[in-house]
Amino acid sequence: MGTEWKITNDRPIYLQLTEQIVQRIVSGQYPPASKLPSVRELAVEAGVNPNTMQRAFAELEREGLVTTNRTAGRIVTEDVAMIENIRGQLAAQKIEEFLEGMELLGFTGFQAAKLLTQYAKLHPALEGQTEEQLLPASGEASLAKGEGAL
Amino acid sequence: MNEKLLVCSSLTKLFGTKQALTGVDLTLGSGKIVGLLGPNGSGKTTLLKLVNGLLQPTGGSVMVDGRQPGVYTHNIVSYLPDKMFLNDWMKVIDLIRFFDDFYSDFDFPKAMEMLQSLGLSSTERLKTLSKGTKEKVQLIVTMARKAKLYLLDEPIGGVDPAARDYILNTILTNYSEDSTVLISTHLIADIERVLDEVVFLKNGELTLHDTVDNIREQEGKSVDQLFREVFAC
Amino acid sequence: MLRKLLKYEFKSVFYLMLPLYLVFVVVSAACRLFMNVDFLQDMFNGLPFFFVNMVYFGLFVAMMVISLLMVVQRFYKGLLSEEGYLMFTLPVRTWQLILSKGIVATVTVIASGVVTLLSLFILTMNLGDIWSMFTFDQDVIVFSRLFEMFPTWPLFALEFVLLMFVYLWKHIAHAYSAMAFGQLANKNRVILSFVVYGAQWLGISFFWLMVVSVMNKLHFQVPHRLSHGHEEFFMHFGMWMLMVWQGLELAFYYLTTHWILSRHLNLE
Repeated sequence: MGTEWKITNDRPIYLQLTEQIVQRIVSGQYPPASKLPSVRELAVEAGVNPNTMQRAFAELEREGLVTTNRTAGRIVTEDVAMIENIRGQLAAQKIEEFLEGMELLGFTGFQAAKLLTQYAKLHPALEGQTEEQLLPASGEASLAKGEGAL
Repeated sequence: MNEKLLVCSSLTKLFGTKQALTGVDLTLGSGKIVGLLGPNGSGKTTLLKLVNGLLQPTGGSVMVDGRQPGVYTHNIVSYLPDKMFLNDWMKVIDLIRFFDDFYSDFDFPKAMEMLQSLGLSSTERLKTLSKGTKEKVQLIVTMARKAKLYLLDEPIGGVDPAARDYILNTILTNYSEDSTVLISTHLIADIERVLDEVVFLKNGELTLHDTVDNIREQEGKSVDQLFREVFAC
Repeated sequence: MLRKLLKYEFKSVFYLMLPLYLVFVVVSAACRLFMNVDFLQDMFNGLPFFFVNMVYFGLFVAMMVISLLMVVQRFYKGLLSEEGYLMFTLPVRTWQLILSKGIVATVTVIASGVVTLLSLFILTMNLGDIWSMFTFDQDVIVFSRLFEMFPTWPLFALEFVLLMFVYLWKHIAHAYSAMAFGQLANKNRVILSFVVYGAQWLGISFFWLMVVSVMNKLHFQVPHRLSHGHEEFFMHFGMWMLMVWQGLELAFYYLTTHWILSRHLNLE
């Protein structure tokens, strides 16, 4: 399970690692309060330098998303609200990117949203899912916040 | 942790009148994976040979853990030269026993395990192995040591992609805070991710020594791209 | 560490030499059998006989050449070429490397000598001769004569053997020293090794010539009246002087080798 690590050429590696760990946390691949794999394991998995991976974690610790427990090692924060907040921010970012792209194609924000809903209903991967499942309550709340930012 | 595991000061080497290295100042701490980058003939091999005492400096000095190259440094340095040092009469297992005999930090089971995972037979004569396989055997005996400083001269130069991945994986799994790996290469794209720091050598002079992420941050491009610009052919 | 070095050095030499020794002995025995069959000797104007002799002689020369080459090659290839990358990064001292090469070279030369003697023995000895070796009547007479004429002859024999060893070591060390100097060059190392070999020989010969001529100038001579009646003592003294002389050369060659390999190593 889990996503592949992707490292591009243009930016510092530790930043890219940070982003991808955050992605794994908000997506639930690393659930709240769960123990994280060791730096070494992750470094080998991503094929990156252990010190770089360490630095990525230091960054996450600074942000409070990850804490180091003397006995249990490194764990994801228990603060679900915080995770959801970040998740919302990231979602808002993605939506903004999407809307910008749609705007270039001549769609207004609401047209784009309507199109997206239609697409979601038709998309085979989403078949059989209710709208409830598509938009969990907490997600809705933070999304609203994101839309407000638009 | 040792902040001064390897210290080169004004290290200079002349071959006749040819400058192979000119005033190289380089300090490496432990717990690092460092790339020694430069095109062929830039002095990478010469530098590694000086650290091993296989050549003597014309000027300046080189210290490993505070000592000049000698019996002490040979005990803590594991060196993979760019030459085939294999003896004709030996079988793979003889070479592994040889290393086990002479180096107290040699991990015999680990070497056997590495042989197995690379699909090599321990009873094969070294003489009959292909060049690529010989390189793998040399890599195994080098990496199966628990050294403080690994000096790898072009370990990924001639090997196939699978072996290259294995080498990088070995370096990563082998990583410890007490040891430093210095890898010389001219193929950076493949190893950039595993490096902490890079050292650029150009015509025997050290032109850059920085962390990979600093370079990416400042230049907005990968070390590989920077290398191609600096050493544009 | 020296013990471990010796173990590997012996293996790398004798994996090649032992089969060669075996072939040499077997061929000697075959030659001997061939020579003992009369009609073969007379066949085709004795051509096969001649041929067998040539084979033996060829092998004899090959034996000498290979032994010498082995001594040189184990040092040059084993320390100053690619294999040097392995040997000079071992946690051992330079003197241990040189000594391990030297000891194995000595054993190689002696072993080759012994095998050569053995082959000559196989080729020429008659059964009667072997039998006579175990009958002591003759020997006792010879030995008692020796003791009469020359009471300290066993000491002399010992000195002779010692001298041979020092002489052998000097030659080995001379070759090592020349090769060590040769590797200082960045090109044409082999040529430089030969040049140095000759130059060292010339230089040292010249040095001793000077020493002797100075001694002559100083009339450094044992007066006849002193030596009279002590001939034996002076013969032993002479042997020891020879040993000191060869020993000094040995020391020179060894020390230069060690100095270069420990301070001025210049591997390709």
